[in-house]
Amino acid sequence: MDFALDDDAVELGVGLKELLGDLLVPGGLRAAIEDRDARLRLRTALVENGASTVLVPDSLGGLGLGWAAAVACAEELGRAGVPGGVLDAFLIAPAVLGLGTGFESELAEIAAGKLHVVVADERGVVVDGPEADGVLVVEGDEIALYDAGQVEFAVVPTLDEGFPVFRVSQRGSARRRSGFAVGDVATARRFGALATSAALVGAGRHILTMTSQYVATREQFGRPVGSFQGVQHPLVDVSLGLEFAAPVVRAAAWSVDVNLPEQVERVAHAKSAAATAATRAWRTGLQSHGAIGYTYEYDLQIWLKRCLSLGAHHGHPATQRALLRDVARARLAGAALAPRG
Amino acid sequence: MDLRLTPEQDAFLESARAWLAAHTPAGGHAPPGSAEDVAASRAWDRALFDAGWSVLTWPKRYGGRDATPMEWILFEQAYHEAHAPYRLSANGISLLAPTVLEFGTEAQKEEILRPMARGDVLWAQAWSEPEAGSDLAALKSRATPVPGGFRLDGRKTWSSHSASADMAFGLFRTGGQSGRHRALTYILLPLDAPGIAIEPIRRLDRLASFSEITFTNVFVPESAVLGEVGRGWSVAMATTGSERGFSLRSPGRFTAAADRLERLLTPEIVDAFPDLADRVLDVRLDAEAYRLHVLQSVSKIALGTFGPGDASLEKLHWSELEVRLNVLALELLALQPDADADTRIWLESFVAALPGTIWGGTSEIQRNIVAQRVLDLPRSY
Repeated sequence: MDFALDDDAVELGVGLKELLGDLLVPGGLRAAIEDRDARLRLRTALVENGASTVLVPDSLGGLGLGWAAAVACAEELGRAGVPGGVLDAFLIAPAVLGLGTGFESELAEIAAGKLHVVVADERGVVVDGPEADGVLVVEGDEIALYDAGQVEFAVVPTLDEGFPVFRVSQRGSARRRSGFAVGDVATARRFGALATSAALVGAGRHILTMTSQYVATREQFGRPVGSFQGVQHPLVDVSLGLEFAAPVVRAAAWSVDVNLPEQVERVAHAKSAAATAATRAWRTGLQSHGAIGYTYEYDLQIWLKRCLSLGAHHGHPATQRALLRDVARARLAGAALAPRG
Repeated sequence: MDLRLTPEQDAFLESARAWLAAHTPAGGHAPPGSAEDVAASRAWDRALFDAGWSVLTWPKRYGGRDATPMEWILFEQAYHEAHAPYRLSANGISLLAPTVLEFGTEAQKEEILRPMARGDVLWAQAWSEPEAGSDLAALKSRATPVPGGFRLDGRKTWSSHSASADMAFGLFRTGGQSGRHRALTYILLPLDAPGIAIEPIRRLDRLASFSEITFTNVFVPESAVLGEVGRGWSVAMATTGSERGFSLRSPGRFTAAADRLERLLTPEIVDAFPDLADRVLDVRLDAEAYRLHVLQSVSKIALGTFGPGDASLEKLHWSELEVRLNVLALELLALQPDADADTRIWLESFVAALPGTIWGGTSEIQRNIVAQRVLDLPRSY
């Protein structure tokens, strides 16, 4: 039993955090959100530093790591507020394609940053839409990869300029749909929920950090507002939510890597806990900032909106909750059959 | 990272389960209310000690096994699965022993640890005073230097199990009141010393499980000091660090309680009252999150990155979870008034859970600690 992350996963997360710190100079994040070229430059820089290789097998130019390492990356992408479908393109899509057979060329292209694939979630919603090259879509028990040109995207209204979402409304013929097995759809859903859980923890932690720094310096009544328990204690509750969600996310990722039966419950727990914690983070973060946090000019809105986006995407909390209820009911039914001991 | 037990850990867990299955006495979940109960509790500590389970993580020379934190977690898991008795020795083992191991002289370690682990000598804490609760550094009980030792005067209160204990550990003022926490000394004393009066206090369920202790001209020798004179605060904070940390609250306690809670759900209740089933699910998930957080803490301790903020976060989580769990159990039992023979045990468990958010630093104090040490916020008002 060892909860400590493997060294390569730790290095990956730390490296990505430093890289994002260098890339996102002041104003850089806003530029990437508002300007497509800036967004593509940021994505290219991340690819050049290996962010798209984590889950691609080493034989295809990837690092061949698992989800325990991938969630460390996803957390940093969420913390930095990187716009667009980077979770999909770097982590979720290669993991889903890895379930099928015959996707070697696509996986190699993804690792090299030449193919930007997004994944439709259980609502049939994708991020980036026309900006992507390919879309993975669930069709019944199967998964199919489409070229983006074969898909029609209907804009879904959102507040989050950095996370444009679309309903996949009509399709031409699929580029490829080979080799997916029964159960792969549920597995693919777990990949999406894992990546978004970790990104929510990262985004929530960023909100907590920026809010703590703000209330420590903002003075009213002659002292920092962050010295009042009425301000401090709700922020501690934010910390509690995030700090107790994070190990669940990591344990869920590991359970997926070793393919344990409890991965179903763990991943649903992870997304559910991360979404709840992130919601509390942006809500308290906004309240603690006062009016400045409500402005477009102040950066809090970027993460507030992203928490809304990531919470609903790839494993809406209600669907995770339903999964958890199903597991609990099955356990209860099993216990009712077994003798009480 | 690997959350599976190693074959050695698995064997360890099974050996703990086997021993507990063969030796765990029935009942004993409430703090002892009679002399017979105290004797039974001491006998249980003795049985645990003789079989090598009493104080796993202590050094072998003091009666422990030099066990790893993970082995301790596994033993506790088995202990709570077996619903084994409340241990009267817990205060000493969890709060005092880590401090003795860190600050005690060799003579103190030899004298104190083994009898504590065997249930021969029961220890009570003497921290709070009528005017010093959350503001512990305001305490007024004095230790006045006299030839050969100190004279103790003052009052301590909310002292758990002191009516059945043999010894007490606590903080006394050896300097001026204005010195606050810089003028305190950590003192160990026998509760039958002349000048000590113990007045039991009844909990809300009428069980007299804690007391007020009055000291009038009580002599203790110099050897009663743990650590240095005037350094009692930092010595005591090491103790409250263990009190707040995972040493007192193993995850097995909550995962086992969540399992027992889930057994109060019937298919009929789940169908008729889905909100109750949802709350039981939340308790289960929060107990599991606590378990995973503690496993993370074990690895942080190994890496040297476990801080006081982490201990406070854990105390906030488990103490509030335990109250929620027990309130929910009472709600479920009230729905099925004659369905469960364990109602009395749940009532006891409920009463025992309530002060968890108060003792060892209230939830408000814990939140102040997290605010300052984790979030880097200014001192609280």
